[in-house]
Amino acid sequence: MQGHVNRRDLRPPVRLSVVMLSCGLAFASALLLAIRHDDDAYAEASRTLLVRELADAQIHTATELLRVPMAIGDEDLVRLVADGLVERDPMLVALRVDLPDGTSIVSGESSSGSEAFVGHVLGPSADVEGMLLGAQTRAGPLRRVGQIEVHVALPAIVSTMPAPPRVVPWVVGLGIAGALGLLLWLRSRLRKLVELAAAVAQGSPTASTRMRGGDEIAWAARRVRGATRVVAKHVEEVEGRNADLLRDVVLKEDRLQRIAAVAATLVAPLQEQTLLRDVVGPLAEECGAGIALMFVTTTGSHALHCEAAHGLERIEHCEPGLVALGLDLEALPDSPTLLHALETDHPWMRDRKVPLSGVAALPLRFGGHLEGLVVFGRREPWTGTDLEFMADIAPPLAIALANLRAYEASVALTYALEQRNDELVRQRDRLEEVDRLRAQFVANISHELRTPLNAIIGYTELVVDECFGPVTEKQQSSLESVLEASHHLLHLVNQVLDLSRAEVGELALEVRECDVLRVARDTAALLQPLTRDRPYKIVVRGTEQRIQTDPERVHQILTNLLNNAIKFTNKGSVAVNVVPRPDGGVALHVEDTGIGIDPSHMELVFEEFRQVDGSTTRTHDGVGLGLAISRRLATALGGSLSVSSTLGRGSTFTLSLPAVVGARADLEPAQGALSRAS
Amino acid sequence: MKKILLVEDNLHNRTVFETALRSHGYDLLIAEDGERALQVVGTYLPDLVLLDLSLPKVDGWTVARTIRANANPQVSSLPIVALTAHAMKGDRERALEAGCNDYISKPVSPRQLARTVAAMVKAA
Repeated sequence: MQGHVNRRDLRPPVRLSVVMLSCGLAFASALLLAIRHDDDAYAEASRTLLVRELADAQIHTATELLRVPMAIGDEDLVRLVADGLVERDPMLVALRVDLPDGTSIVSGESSSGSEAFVGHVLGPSADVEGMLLGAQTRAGPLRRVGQIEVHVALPAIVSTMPAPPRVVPWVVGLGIAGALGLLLWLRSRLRKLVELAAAVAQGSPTASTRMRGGDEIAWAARRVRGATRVVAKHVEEVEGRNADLLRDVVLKEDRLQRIAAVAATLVAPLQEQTLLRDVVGPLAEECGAGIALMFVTTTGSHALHCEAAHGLERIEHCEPGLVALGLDLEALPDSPTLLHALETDHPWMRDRKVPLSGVAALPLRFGGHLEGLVVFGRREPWTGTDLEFMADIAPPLAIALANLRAYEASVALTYALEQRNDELVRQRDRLEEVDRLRAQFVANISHELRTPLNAIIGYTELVVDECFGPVTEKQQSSLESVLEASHHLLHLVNQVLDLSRAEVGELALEVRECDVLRVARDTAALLQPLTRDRPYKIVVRGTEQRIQTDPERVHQILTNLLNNAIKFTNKGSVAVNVVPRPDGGVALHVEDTGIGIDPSHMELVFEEFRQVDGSTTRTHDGVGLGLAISRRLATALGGSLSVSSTLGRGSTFTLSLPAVVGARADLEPAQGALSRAS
Repeated sequence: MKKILLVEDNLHNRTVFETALRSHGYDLLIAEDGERALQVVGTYLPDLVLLDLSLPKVDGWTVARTIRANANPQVSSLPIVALTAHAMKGDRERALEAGCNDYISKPVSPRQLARTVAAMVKAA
């Protein structure tokens, strides 16, 4: 029915059209005939009247003005008038009337032929109502004889003559009546068609709207009724399909609710055992599975072990059962796979009598990694809906397993970190305790060394100052030596303390802007006495270099460096070069031409209590603290101390200082202790 | 004659300081521990207290604090100079905090001590 449309069905009948066309033609013909009839009747009446008028007219000669009523174009009438004139006027031989259309009417005999009328052709008058007459007389030449004029108005004639039968009004009246009838009929038909349309719109075309007849409107009505039936059928089909869809939606919603129910159990607990027990039971129930086993990949391997089983009495049969399935885990697709029925000899079937024919394996993969596997089993085979449900539940399960694994890993890591943290805290506490003890020890040593030094220096000074009586010159100089040695000892004590303080970052710095060249000059001047038994003087070169630093500490470092340089340089030169650095800081190069340092000992010189060579220890005094302290001081100032040397040719110690003392000077004791530990 | 209370437990140092100061004409009262110092300071009323800090019985910091807390304004306003071998960072601050007016770290030479004492007594 639908789809294919017969073209013949679409062609409307012609009945109404033919009727209307025929009526129209008949009416038109009747009207024409009536007009013709009325015209003829009128002409006849006019002619009769004219003859009577002519008879009554007082016309004696043609020369008199003719005033006769006549109809236009009525040749017979003109001829009648012309003949009448020729008969009455003895003078007239012939009479010719030229008509407006160019033709002529000749009455009587023309002796001289058409020539006689030459010059009398007066031509069609502009006045269509009248014509000129030309006449040839017996006596004379051609002359103008007068004019035929329409003189009598038509209504006058009509009024004077009996009314001829008139058909036209009747025909017109009949035509109007017919048209009206047709119109009314069409109107009623159309009304019925509209009623039908309304009924169709309401969906209930009843028998009352049925239209009979073979005309076009009835045909259209039938077509509409037919189409309505087709539409109704379509509607029925669509409703059927909608019902199917609704059923589908309800099914899908149900499945989603089941998935949501399972997913809800996935997010709550984060312990593997709990999670899996909580999930597998509901999962099996949702699927209608008799047994459900969840296997989980062991961390760090591909082996699967059973974590939860539903519907199975003995858990120890889980893994042998999986092996008995003979699955190729790598080859399993991501979608649930139907397996062979489980016979009663299968390990999982020990407590069952009836084989399970519906067996499905559902791999749980996340990020391409097999996280686990669920196997469902029931007596009935699985349907497509069940498999769809399994496919839907697989991704959230896999994610949950992956999350679980990540969570366990993070818990383990957190535990390890906490352990490590505790260990570090203990270590730090121990180090702090060690530092505290050390500081206490150093303080005690300092105190215990200073107390006797105070007595030594005090007594000696008192003796030198002769508080206890006069002393000889020899005694005096000996005591001066005691004093010098005591001060040296004090210097050493101070150095040891400085070293200790620098190590724990307690070095006090007094940073201010100063000219490093000036510091170098002052230091050199103070140390010049040391070169009194050397063939050289300390030379300082460079320009003013102003930076933010602790001049006292710079002086201390330079003193150490110059002391060493002079100590190891018997001849040649000792010089300080003060040069700016690209970063705005300053470099001080202390160059000597002394014994130099073996390349393998280059870094050892900065270690505490070390002098490079045992044999030189005897020829050069000192405990080997100077460079170690100097390097620590340089570091505290944010700078560095380095050395380059050629054995036997001399050494250059370079103290690099930044433009501004950095944060390193504020090192906390603990940090100092840690840096030492490293 | 200016009077000085010397609180020092070490015999040698006591002898050195005493000798040096007496040679400069000061009147000295010696206390060998903190307890003794506190007993005599009120009656002796020195112009200056030279105070070792590591002392038997009552330590020097407590002595300084106790003197400062004395009800007698003549005692509580006494100038006190710490004279100590505690020469580590913070020792000076701890001494001043306890109420000392000045701080000299040992070893101190008799000449230097005499100069400092002269300046302090003159100022007082």
